[in-house]
Amino acid sequence: MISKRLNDLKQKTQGKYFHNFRKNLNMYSHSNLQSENKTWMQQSADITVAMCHLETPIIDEDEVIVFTRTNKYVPDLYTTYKSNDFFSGHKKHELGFVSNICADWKMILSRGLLFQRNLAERNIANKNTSNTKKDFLLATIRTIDAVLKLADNYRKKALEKNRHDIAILFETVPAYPPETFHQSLQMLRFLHSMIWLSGNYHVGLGRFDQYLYQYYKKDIVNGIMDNDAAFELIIEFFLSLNRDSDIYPGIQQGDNGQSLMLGGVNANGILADNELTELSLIAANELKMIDPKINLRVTSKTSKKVFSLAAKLTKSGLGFPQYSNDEIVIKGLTNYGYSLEDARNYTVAACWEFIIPGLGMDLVNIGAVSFPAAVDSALRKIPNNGSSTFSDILKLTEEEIIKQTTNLVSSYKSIKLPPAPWYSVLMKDCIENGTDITVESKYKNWGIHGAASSNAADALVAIKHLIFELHKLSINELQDILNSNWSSNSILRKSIIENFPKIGNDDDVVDNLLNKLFNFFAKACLLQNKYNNLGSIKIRPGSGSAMYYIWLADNSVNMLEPSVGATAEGRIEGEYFSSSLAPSPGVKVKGPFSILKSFSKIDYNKIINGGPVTLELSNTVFHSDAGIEKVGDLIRFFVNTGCQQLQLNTLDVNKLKEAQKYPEKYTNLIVRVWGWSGYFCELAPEYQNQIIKRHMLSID
Amino acid sequence: MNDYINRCVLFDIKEFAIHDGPGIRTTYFFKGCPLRCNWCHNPEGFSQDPQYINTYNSKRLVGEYYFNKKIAEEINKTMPELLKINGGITFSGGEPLHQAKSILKIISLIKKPRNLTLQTSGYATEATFNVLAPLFDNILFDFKIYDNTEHIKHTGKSNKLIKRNLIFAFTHLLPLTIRIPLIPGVTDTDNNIESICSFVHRESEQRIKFELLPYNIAAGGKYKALNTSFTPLFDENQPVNPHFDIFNRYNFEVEVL
Repeated sequence: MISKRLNDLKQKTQGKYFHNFRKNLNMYSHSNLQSENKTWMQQSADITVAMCHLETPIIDEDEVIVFTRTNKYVPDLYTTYKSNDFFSGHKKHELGFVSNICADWKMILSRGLLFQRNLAERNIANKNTSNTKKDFLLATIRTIDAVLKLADNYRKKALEKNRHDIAILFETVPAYPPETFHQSLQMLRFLHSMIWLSGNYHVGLGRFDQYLYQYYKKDIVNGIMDNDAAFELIIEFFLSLNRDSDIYPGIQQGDNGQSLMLGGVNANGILADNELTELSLIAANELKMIDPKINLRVTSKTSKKVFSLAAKLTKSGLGFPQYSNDEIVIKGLTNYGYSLEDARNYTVAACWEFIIPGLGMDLVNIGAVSFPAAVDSALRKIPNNGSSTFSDILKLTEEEIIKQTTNLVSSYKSIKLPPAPWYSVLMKDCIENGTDITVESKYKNWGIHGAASSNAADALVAIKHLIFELHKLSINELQDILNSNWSSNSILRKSIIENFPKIGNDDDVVDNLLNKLFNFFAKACLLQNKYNNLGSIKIRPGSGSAMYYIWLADNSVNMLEPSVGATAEGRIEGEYFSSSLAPSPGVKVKGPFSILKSFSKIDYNKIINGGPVTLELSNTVFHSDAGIEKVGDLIRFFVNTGCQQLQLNTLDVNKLKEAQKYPEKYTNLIVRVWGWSGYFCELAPEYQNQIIKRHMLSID
Repeated sequence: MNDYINRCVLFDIKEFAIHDGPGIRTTYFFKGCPLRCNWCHNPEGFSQDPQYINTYNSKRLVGEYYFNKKIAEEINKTMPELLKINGGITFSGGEPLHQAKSILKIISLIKKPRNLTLQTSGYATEATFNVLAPLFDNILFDFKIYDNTEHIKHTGKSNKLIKRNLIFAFTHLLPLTIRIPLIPGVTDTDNNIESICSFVHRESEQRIKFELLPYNIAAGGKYKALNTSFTPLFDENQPVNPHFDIFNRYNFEVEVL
């Protein structure tokens, strides 16, 4: 149960009460940012400094963990000075700012900001430190000072308001390491917000239950706090993440990357679930808001209790937790050069991409390879001379996948990341090395989504049967049918949809083709080091789709990825693909076991950028406690089958249709979209419709 | 056509079944049932022959022939993973014992270890039941109406075989759960529940578990699609009475599903 205080705070948050404190200043004219003589490093620091300077401390009577953002706009540093455009001649990644990584929360909590500041100062004083490094270190000190100043302003404001409980928190954090669980959450809230404030986005929260456990345990052992008090603090912290999230950039509102990881093994490979794992799962379930996006690392040893708590959270229909299978993920990451210890410490980026907290400047989403477009191109290119074989189709598909991958990677070769001195303060070894996270990081690989794979595998099977086995159609005839968008072949189309093998039925014929497609993709990624001369950068192939299940189908946005018309598995032009790993839309499948078994055949040693098997369960499954436990069993089935990641959604289709009709009645209805959850009524109609149309696995 | 030795007729295969035995299971629905319970919500299980069902905008064939061997192979593929999570496979219907030879054949091909549940109306010859029932790890045994006249009225058949088979299960200590569909005014009467409990108490040495399945108001939904009419001999809207007091008096474990 949520206390009255937290319930009031929740009402205020949902009612956008805290937005009243926003000042909407036009940052472009702010005097601090007018100097042309500064290095880009210093200008990056200027953003943090200016934003901190402009913040007004807000302390609400109902809160014990504070920070409310009062300035909405972060200046876009890189267009301010046109004469000296930072990106001229370079590729800009998304919005420019460093995004989609995870700070080393464990490290910064254990050190505090003054420790980092001293480290930077000592490093500057070292005569061997180069000027470039000094420039960086100076920038980190300026951001630390600005953040500490703002923290002190919060302390003063608290004293003014007679809130000694808050003031005392800021006497310790964020300058020094927290001494209590309460302080650790206040520090996390504050530093996390400072990253957003600096223009960085998709700011992950990492392994929450792991790095906070020592603070929790100490307070419990010392009798400073009981479990109820810890629970209240966790709820308040989670709630705080929803306060400013409308400001945060994303494809749709809700796509803000505030991912929080729970569970999983420790550095020694031993399952490290603890009391915080359970409390956090319960807290997210009590709160029922879109942030944070809960992720759960599971193994075959994860307890039944944790599975049940997770299933209960799934029942809420928030679209999380998302489950990652440690045994598969860790092996895959080590296969790509991540050290075993680092791999065991993985978390996820905004959606599902595996990253290492504090150590990675991976760009996990540089675009998508469209498998359907590759298959379609193969069909267009193959000679219609009677001697072509299905192997030729596969060979051409492989070439197309390589081509698409190479195009994407080439477009990123000139990538330039703006310095991120504040973020670097929170990353491992940046201050020690005197280098910004964008300059030097242990892992700086790039990830590509492998989108719409089920449709492509289904299309390959259709081509194989129709042209090469049953000899029902010639290559040209099938091309013509696709060009005509199936207009005069509805009977054939129906027969393909209903009778041909499909992904999701544990049918080796088509599942092996799916595995082939991903192997082609993995090979294409591996070849990039040769083709594109990437040095130590590795290209990580994934199985997610993000928004590409729509973009690749309707060609509505200007993108590098090829879109495709009607396809051989019976899909008509413009029809959306399925999201990440799910059977093609509208296909009849046997059920969740077969779906999981189909996708377990992908070689996850090679496909390691993440991308979940997505199952939609009818909410009727959860009517009893026994039902919830059985959903837990399904998650264990997922682990045992050897799939990599699972997205389990609960859907009440009638409710969604109602919400489309009467959005005003359903403003708080939350659904999973792809790697994130959002408010249903705030989504564009095409996303709403796709969600309604997804496979639904109901139980009688 | 009806090559029962090699093939069976199923009207559905449902993965992730959560009400058909312990854990999560795949349930195979065998088509064909000797009973005609007038509350049945699976009327497509009545006839053993494949038939068309008319949905609001299309026609769909219900019932398909499968080679017994094929079904066993499929089960063998999934069983190890289901066992790891204490789940398994369930044969339901229709009345699975109505296709006894197929069941026997399929089970003979399923590798051990395994976990098999039988969901049955209990309506089968003693010979069939005595051979098949012991092959299962759990039996979900429907006991609907104690009074034979009432049983005939509502299901079309006498309950003599059902009682005999139930006694066989008791005598041989088969792992049994008794299921009673709660039909308002028919099975949920004081008299019926009392009679069933008293019978079970008398005949069984084990403490039997009961599961109660309250009548589902949507039961009639499929009849129209099958071009037959739904004629319940009871008032659908009347609430059902689970009579926990009686089960408690006999010290039976009871759960409403």
